[in-house]
Amino acid sequence: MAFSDEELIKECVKGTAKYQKALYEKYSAKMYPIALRYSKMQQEAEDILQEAFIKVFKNIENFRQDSSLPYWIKRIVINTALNHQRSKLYLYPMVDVSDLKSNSAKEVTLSSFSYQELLDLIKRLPSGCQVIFNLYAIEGYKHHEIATMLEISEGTSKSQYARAKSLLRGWVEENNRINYERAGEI
Amino acid sequence: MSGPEKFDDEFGKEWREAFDDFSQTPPPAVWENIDRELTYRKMIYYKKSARLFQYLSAAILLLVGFLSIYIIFLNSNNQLLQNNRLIDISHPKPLTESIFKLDTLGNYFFKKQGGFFVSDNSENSTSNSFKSKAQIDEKSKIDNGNSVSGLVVPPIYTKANSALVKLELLEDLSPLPPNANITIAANFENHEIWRVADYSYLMKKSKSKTNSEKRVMWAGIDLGSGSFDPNYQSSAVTTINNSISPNSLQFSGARTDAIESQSPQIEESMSAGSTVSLGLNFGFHLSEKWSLSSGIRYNLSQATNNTNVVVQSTKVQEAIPASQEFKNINQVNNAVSSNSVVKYDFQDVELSNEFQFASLPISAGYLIYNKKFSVELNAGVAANFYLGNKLTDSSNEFADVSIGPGGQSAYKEVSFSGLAGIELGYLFLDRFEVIVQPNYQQSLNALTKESAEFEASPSGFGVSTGLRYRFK
Repeated sequence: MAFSDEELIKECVKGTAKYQKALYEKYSAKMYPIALRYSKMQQEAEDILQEAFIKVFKNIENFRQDSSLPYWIKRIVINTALNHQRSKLYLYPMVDVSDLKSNSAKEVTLSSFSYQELLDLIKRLPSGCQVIFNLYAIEGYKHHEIATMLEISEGTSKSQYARAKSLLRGWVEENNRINYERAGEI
Repeated sequence: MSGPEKFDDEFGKEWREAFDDFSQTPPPAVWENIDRELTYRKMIYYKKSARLFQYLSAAILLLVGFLSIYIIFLNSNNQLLQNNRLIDISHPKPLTESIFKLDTLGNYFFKKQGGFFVSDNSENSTSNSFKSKAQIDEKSKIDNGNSVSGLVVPPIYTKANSALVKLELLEDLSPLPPNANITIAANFENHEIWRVADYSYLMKKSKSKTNSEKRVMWAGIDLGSGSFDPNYQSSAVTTINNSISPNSLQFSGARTDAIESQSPQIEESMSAGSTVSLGLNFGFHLSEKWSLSSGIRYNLSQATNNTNVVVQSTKVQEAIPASQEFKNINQVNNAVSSNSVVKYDFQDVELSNEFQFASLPISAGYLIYNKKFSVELNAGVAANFYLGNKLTDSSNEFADVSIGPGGQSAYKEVSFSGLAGIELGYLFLDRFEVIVQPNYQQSLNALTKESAEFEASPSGFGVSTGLRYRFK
């Protein structure tokens, strides 16, 4: 039985186990890919998701209706993921990378890639690049917002994104080239 | 999220679209872990609530115990037979003319003459003692020949076994018909009958003086419980470096420059909990309305600390939560000293923080009402001596840390708080009083030292119950 968000919120505030599970089942499949994008390993993503949903249930009484429930949960998942990544970011601090030349002036297409392949490419990125690429390109944060969130300079955010873009573009082109060659052999 | 800045190319947009609306069901183990954690949190919540109820129940049991003793004692004394019917004298009626204390086993016959009873069994062999007393009563009668209605009981004593015993207030027998047959209950042998003079016209003037004279000094015990809000405040930006120790955390083998330049910010808080107390008190009346009291009290107060960073060290099996409280704790600093720290993690940690204090309160009271029940407003100050605090994690996942008074602690050895309350008393057995006191306590100065990175000025509402003995 599908419950409305209002019902789920009301009952989760009371701590009703049945509704907590219903809320999890309703949104976990949407949130899990987000956790995966910020992680290197599947186990790490599961930890993020688990911690995020515990925060959701712990703080749901503070949820204000000025945003949607899935948006609120998504923000918690992202913040939890950032917390997980922060220790790595600090141990391998992000510095401004030199202006990287674009590998190619032409745009690359992702249509030939499956979701899993794209996810694997994001996971290959260095931690700092991975986080900033996710925040900027996919979540849609601005560089100054990312700078505040990660306590880095705006320039660092921009340069890390440029580096991520450069690396991804290179891998995508390489993959496309290999696929093209394989297709030619056939 | 306010939307991406204008993309310089379509690259980012393509990625965004590729991941848009994608779903993937997580493994079942994730929910199992969440469910387990939620159940555990509920259990902790109920455990905390249960403890508060335990203390409250103990206080109620104490109160019920006092009242039970009182009622049992009263019932053994306050039943007699009048005109072959049982009279419950535990609640004396308003007095009009005469008060009698029944003493000797046997039947007595009285005549009613002018509102007073006199013995009508002078031939009775057991009447001698009564007659002699009746003569004394006659004196009272003479003194009180023009008495007004509305008796007030003066302190009257008679000698019994060479000891002074105060006569108790019984029922007015005046409404009885002449020659009423009064039978004394078998369990009331050795009691005496006295006719008590009506001094109401005199007592009205000196009544309050008498009451205050009765309450000169007291001593007792009390048991209390209530809320404990540490009113935690932290304005400083706390990082792992200034939280644990500025010199100890070197993260050997890692990029120390990174730690120093981008030490992770710690989000720490301390939320309200409960408190219980046990104390001894004493006091005395300064005047008819004013009293002064003091004592000594042991307080066990519990708050909940939350932090988001833990440190793994080779010296301690469990992870060490990063807290500003540990900044100067040698035990912690040794554990996170150079070469021993493995890593730190962002992880939400909830710790129980139990404080122990010894308090010396002194308060002044103002009596609003002072009968068998009394109501008193009181206010004062307390010197609170910090005995230590202990941070524990019920899951045993993180290291417990005990902190004692002294240089290492973030808390002052002595702090002061203001007290205010309403004391409700019930007097029984002449010298004992049960006290119930709703109260409020507020720190007058911070519990924390100036050097601490945070501030705590506790406050809380509570209820205490106690038993007092009045000296006379």
